[in-house]
Amino acid sequence: MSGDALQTLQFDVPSSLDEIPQATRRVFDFFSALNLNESDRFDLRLSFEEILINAMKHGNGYRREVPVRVTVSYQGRELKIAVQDQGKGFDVDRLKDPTMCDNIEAYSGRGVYLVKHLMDRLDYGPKGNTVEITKHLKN
Amino acid sequence: MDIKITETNGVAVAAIEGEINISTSPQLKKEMEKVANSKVVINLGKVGYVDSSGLATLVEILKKARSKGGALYLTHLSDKVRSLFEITKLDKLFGIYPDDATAIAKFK
Repeated sequence: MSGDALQTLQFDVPSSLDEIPQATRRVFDFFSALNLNESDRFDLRLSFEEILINAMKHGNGYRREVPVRVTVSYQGRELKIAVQDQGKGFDVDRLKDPTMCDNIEAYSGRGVYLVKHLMDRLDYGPKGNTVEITKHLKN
Repeated sequence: MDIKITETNGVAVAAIEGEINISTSPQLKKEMEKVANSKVVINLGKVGYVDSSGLATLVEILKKARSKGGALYLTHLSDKVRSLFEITKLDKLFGIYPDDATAIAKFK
């Protein structure tokens, strides 16, 4: 992996749900050289869209004029996607486990939980308004 | 998203085609609110993508069916969609069956 150059793409996305398909296309166009299999594409798409929606909703309040900054990179078979909103951030430790009996029928709370399981890493920046996911491709 | 709802032996069977995500979930919720049956089957055979909003909407439809004394069963889940139910343990909440006929028979 050390011989592979780091490839990076950065772009801003208006905080509006109708921007999600285009943002997802940009991410996967960038990853096209990696020939992702269907399973990895599914996991990466779901994880990216979940953290993007959270940034648009909780960070930027769906204010279209307030963008989410997306940074996508890969080096060898390690992929990273980071999203940064312009909110005050939040304490990830406050998230409830959606699989617990008291929460299993709750409306929300499954997005980040899914991302944690589908990706190899889920990291928050110190302010809590930047989220980065990492996936190591198996093949 | 395309939703076709039929009825078999008093069970409403909704066949969905498309994605169940944050943009399409309101349409699914709206269409399913029109269903008077308490026994409901949702066929996900032509659903290739479900996000957390989609899962939440299916939970809401399940709770509505239960409130009427019925249930919601899911059929024809792809391996990837089923994995989301397993990760979130929603596979313990829903009845998940391979096909509509099996699900309908479980209501008897």
